[in-house]
Amino acid sequence: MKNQRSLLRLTKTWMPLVCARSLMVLMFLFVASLGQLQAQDVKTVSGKVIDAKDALPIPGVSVVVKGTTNGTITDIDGIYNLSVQQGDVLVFSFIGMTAEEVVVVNETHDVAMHADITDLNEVVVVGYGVQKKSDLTGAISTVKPEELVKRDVATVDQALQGQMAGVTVTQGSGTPGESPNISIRGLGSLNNTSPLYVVDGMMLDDISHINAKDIESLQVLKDASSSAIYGSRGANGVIIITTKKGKEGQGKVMLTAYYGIQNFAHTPKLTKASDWAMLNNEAQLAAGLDPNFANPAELGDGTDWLGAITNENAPIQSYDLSFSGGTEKSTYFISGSYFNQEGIVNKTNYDRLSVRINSEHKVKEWLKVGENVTVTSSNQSTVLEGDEWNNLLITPLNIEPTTPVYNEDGSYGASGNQVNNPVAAIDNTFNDDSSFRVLGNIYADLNLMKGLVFKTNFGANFAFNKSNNYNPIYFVSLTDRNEMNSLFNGHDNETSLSWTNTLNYTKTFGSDHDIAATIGTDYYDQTFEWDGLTVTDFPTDEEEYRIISNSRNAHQGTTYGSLFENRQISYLARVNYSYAGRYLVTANFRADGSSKFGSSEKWGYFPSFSAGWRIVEEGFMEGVEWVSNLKLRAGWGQIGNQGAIPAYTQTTLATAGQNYVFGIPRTIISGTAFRGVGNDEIKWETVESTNLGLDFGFFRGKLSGSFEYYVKNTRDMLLMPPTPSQTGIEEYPWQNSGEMKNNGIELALNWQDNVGGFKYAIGGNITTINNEVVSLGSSSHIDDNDFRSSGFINRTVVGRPISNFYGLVADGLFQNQDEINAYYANASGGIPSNIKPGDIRYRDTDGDGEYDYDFIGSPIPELNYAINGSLSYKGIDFNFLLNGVYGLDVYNGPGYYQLSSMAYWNTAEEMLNRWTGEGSTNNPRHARMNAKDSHNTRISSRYVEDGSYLRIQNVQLGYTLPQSVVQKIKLESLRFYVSGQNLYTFTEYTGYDPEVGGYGTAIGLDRATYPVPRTITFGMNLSF
Amino acid sequence: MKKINIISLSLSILLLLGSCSQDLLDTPAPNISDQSFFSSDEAAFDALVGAYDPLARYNYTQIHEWMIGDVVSDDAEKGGEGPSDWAECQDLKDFKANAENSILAGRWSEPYVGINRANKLIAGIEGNENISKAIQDRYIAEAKFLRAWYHFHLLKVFGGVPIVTSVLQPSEFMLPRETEDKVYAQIEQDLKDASEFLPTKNDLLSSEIGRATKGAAEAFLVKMYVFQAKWSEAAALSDKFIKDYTWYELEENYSDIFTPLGENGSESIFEIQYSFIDGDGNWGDDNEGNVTAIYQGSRQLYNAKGEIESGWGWGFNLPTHNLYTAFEDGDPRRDATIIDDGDVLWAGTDDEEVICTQHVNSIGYSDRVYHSKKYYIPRSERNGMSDSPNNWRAIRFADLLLWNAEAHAHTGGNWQYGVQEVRARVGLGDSPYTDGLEAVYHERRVEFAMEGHRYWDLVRTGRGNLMQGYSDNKRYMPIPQGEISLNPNLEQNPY
Repeated sequence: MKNQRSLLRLTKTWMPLVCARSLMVLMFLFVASLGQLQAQDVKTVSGKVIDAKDALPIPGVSVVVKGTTNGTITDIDGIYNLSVQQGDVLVFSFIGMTAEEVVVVNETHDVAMHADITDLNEVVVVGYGVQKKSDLTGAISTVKPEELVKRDVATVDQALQGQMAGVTVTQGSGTPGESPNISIRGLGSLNNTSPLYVVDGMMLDDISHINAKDIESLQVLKDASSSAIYGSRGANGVIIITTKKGKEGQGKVMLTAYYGIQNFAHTPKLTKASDWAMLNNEAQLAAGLDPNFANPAELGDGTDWLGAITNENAPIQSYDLSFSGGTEKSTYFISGSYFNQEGIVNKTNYDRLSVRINSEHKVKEWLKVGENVTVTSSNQSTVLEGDEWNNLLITPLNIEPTTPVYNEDGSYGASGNQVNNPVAAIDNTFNDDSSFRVLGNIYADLNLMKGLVFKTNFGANFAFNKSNNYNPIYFVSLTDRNEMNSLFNGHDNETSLSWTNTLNYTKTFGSDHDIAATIGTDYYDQTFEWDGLTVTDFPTDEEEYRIISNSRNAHQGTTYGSLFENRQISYLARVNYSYAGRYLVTANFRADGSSKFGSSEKWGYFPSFSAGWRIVEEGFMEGVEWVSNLKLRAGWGQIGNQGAIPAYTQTTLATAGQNYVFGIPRTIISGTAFRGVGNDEIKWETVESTNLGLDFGFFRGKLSGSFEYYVKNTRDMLLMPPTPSQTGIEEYPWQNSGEMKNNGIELALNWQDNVGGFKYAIGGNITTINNEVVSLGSSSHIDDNDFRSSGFINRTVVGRPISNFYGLVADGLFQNQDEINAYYANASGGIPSNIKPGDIRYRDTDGDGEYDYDFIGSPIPELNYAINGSLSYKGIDFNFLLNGVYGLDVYNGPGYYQLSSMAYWNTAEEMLNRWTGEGSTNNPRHARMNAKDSHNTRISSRYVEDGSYLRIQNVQLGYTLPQSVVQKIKLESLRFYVSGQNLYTFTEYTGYDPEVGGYGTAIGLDRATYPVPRTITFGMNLSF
Repeated sequence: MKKINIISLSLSILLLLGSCSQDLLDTPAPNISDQSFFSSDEAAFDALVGAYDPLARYNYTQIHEWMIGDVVSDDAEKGGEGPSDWAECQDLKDFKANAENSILAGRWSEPYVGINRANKLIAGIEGNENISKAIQDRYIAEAKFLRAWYHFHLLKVFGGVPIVTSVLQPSEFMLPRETEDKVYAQIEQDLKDASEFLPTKNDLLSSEIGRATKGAAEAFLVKMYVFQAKWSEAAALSDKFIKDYTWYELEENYSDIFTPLGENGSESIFEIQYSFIDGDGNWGDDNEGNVTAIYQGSRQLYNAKGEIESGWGWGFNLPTHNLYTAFEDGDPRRDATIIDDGDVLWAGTDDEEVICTQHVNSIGYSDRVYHSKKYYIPRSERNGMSDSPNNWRAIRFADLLLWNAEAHAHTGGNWQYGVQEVRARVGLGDSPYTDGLEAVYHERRVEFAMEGHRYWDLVRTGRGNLMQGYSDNKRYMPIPQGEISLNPNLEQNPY
């Protein structure tokens, strides 16, 4: 009891005072006391555990009586003593060694343990079935479930960052609850590049609601030969998740919990009030105007606006409890989880409560049925982000440091420059979204005859989302106020149903010929419906009265709504053949029909082939002891992609809401127009991919890894290429036009060893992506990412990677009037009146006075890489993950304000190095101050920065209590840890965070998105 | 036996899907397709409203008419926060626009949206037996009026443009530019066809106010004659208009034209109609409101203590001192057009504001600038920090009177009538100018100042050199580069 009390005390110190906490503590006490009730008999067994390789003793080996919590660990000489009963089974386990089981017969049992040199016999989940890892012929990566739970992050997809070669995870927004973008092997399309998720056989578009601790296995199918079995949904890769099942034997209870704090990892450096006022005065004087500040120096630091909106030490916490177990006939896994993350910006928050029940029952010898069901409820609160005007991560940078948050009378301080007071904006933001999801499947496996199994799986996903947005009346200044309160309520619900049937046949002919064949069907139906309503004019802004019926004009609210349904039908087949475990061949075929395509183009046919050669099994490799695994793989396949194409693009449809005003009194009259044009010839986008891979393991598995080379070409790309405006078409029709190619290499290496109980591993992966747009059909280019309504940042053209930055080239600064005179000597308009020394010299090759537009950077990285490592010694474990991106650019949007020559908004600290006279600087970022500047703010290379970074993504230090201690409190294991996420980022980028991301052809423009916080967590894992 | 049964059951489940798969893949759209849309008079009306909708667009009437008509001319400076705020508008004013200018991109596309909608309406109802004949006649006439309107608004900015009189098929997507004469000929034809079936203004039901009328079509046709210098046609048609359409008369009080009193009033021949939905958070096109008021509103105000505070508006389109001095002494139109520092608007009401022009005078203009009054409306008529319901006065009866005067000045007729009518309304006597054209030019400038006409009045009368940086090759703006990329048949203007 003493230990439990100290645990409780510990728990109390680092859990905040929320209901969830008390609940969890109670549960903890309850389950811990259950452990106390168990009774044991006594008989002593002892022995020595050695390494079979060198006969040296292994300390720290866990020795447990199977099915109980009774156990110990070996001492420094490898000796153990344990009280047992005759006939008990002892389980010896140690990280990196194959577990050994021994039935207690004598009083001494010495054990020799073998290094776990290979996981080749591991079974890997592939599409519609499983395969032995050694038999794989496609490019499939596996993430161990323990790797997923090592990182204390909100969602599974966030935990995938840096885990695998070829899988790029970009967390564009750090707002709590936001999911990252994932792309597998480059950008195969100009629109949707997200992979398909398959959870327990159910196809999903996102997995933000899946609890990482419920996951039994996670596989990523990267090439066409492995993902083609998913046909049209598989072009961007497939992430297959299987959730946990109970195991036969004694029940097991697991409790994991962590609590932590989060802070800004990096904030842009701004000038303090005195420096800003000095720059502002300089700008005024340069423009021939009176300075605004009599004595800048006395203004001091001024207001820390970012500090004023920061939620310092924002808490993050998570509690998971699971029960699992089963009998020969039935198994169960039940879990509950609560997660809560406050944002580092005030009023941002995310919480999630989920429960899961998975069970499986053997009804007959030949019939097995089961279900996996999870119910999730989540809430998210957000503030405005993502725009470049009033975004709450931009306004704190822009507002003058000389303006106070509050005036002396308590009212909000108003900017003199029409920047909204960010504190007032957050105080008056009420954006809440909630989501309720039920995801589940029921299945049956029928053993029809030896080797022949029929499986049927019915899955359903119900998602109900609600958004609520209230704008109260407030006043800061005439430009920063709201005079009419309003309430928006939106609801959407999505239902997707799937029904999968497969027939699997496996047979071995002779001793060397193994055949496995699968045929199946798949049916998928998705309906989505949403409606929204805005009403205005509430008699009061009190929170409890913010319901529709209190609105004075509830009878004439503004309404929105839409509905769509998509269906897909598929037939699939696969044959695997292996000869003597040495030569492996796989062929897949899938036919897909989709309701989204033209009347005669609904069906697409997608074949793939792959082969493997396990060289290590060849006779000539016998005696080559240092090679433990060597396999060559090659694959080719075609997959379809529906891209982001919505339903019903085949026909020209009427759109209402094209309104105009007629009459006295003026009345808004509903109008209708045909904004787009249907295309009944629309068909599948095809991705053709070739993969060459080599898996290897040397020195008994100490060094292992894989090398892959891939080519992934997309044709008939689904695009909405612009049509000439003279057609009057407002929504460009979808067309199959354009081609893109991606190729690259992936290398993953891992070294692990065990020296005298000191176990360590170090590994890493590198991915290169060469992306090139081969054709855009009839269009010459696609522009995207409009910035401040003054032009587009991204331009996609043939012959380059997608979404290059496009603008003027800032070559330096004019140092003196002679340079200006020479530069504009042949300019048609002469020297523009506002150009003076210290202004930017834009490249103008022909000297006609019209500056050259050019490609000024690329947001697509040359290299993604990650380095991970782990160490463990006795009960202490340590691991880390570094994640890096190299060779890409970021367009720093807020630079428009912070590098502005006008010093109208708060300036970047680096502007203290501005041009002040000939020779002072030639850096185009640091142009002269000038309150009347319009020349230096054009879209140009001035704002393009190196976006490369290396991030300390995760570091974790843990301590597992010795069995001798844990045993006394009747637990199986107990571990405490401290973990850090996003601890430091090595980068030259000056904004909040170089991890900017994007979607489609709009990539790499930083609009001051919400940065990913630095997080420190303390946690524990407990089981009995 | 049992196993055999299970196997056959399993196989039949596998096959089940196959039999009904084709039907399952036809999911009916929840919207109506163009094939079945034009089924009734009511449906035709919906499409008619849709064809009017682009008239009011943000990237067209709401900002372009004054950005080009006033700012580019000698009447106004751009204004706003500073030189970099809408720098592309300054490029237009400096006659240094390039083909990437986003203002021009919107200007090219929005009128064509309207043209396409008008064509789709005509194609959908012409000879359609589900639509009554009277409705067909009137809606087709309105569609042709709109088609003419949209073509002209392209022509006046870009010169000869592709003429589109049907819903284009993919093979027709790359029509080349036509000559100005051909575009004018098409516009004239559409207006003549339209005026035959359009009702007159006094025949409109009150719920129909804002729709095209016979008077609007004929006045617009006069304007087309004026722009082409077809003076005798302009004189004849405007004479007839003044004589026959007695329901058009000048607003008694000039400053009422831009208040709700003058909206769709007796002087109004055609207005672009606006409204707004209060507090729905939407803006511009989604809200049927007009952003002209907030764009042009005063950027700063003096509070009761005489301190400067932020104003509601953004302070664009600032009248120049040059314009200020163009008014004759005692011409009340100056005060109705220009606001000076310290002016008190809506005095004595809850809406009272004391205007401050200090900011706009500190952002780099060589001469004094002012705020613009005509589209600046009192607080009680605005919609929060958003758009406003005031209509864009596109054609006023005063326009027609001065076109009439201008046409007669060219043909040796009675130009004095129109000028005198317009001056008499503001209590002024004979024009100080004895030359008919000079008198008309002066009168047009002060009568229509800050209404988005000045630039075109200057260039069509060969007075472009009054604008700094202007040369005749700058009359028409560059065709957007994006459009030329999509349709290489479009020849760039010699800008």
